[in-house]
Amino acid sequence: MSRLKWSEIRAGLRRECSVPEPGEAKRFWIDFRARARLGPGPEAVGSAPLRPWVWRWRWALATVAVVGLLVFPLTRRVGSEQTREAGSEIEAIEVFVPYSALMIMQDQESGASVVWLADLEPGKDT
Amino acid sequence: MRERRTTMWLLLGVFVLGGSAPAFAAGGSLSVRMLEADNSDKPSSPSVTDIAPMLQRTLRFSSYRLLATRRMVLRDGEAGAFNQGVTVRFSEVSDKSLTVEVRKGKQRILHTRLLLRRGKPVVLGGIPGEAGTSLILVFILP
Repeated sequence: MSRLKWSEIRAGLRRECSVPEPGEAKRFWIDFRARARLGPGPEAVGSAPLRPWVWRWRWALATVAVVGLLVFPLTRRVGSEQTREAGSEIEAIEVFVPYSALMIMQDQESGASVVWLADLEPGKDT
Repeated sequence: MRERRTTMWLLLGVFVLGGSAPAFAAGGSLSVRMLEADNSDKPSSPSVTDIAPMLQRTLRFSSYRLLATRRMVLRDGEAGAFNQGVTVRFSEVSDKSLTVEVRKGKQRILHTRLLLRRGKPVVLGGIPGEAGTSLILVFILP
């Protein structure tokens, strides 16, 4: 198998193909500007470009969808863990019978709130 | 710049809608148990095993026996009658909290505002029961 040199390839191509002589630069630019003024070619008419706001909304919705899919399960899990840590609470209490002590305890492990009334005496009014 | 602003508003909307779920579902209910506790050798009821460790850590009785269980609907005026003349009535039910009134016979014992979280019990105890026992009410939002 013989290997051709680059100079031989170039010379061969020159022999086989006739390269048009470059025209005058001024004439080229006059033609170019005239073609540019005609606007888009027939192939571009069929596919009108989307308006910028359509692209904006597409991108925004796509971003929200992706972020939502990734972050939503995470926030749900974090939220439920926070709820698990925060227990039930006693916001207010009023006792209508005599007692010696009122204790409110919070059990961290279960999240329970415990109210204990010591020596409650039903049958008597405060 | 405008795209970013649009995206931020959409994200904010998604998170606000997702994060504001109320604790009480419409027509939800509360499990209310009445227990009798003392330091006797009587065995604790098997139906209190879920809350027994918590009760042991906080109240330290040796025996907890279940007297009654009621499922009470979360609505104003809902009332439940328990053993030994104890009654419980709900009022001012909101999406996360409610007011509970406990009576024994005709006497009002206490009035308390509870903020309940799912699976986190609230225990009201110390009401004198029969034969030297103490009565305990346990409220759980299932």
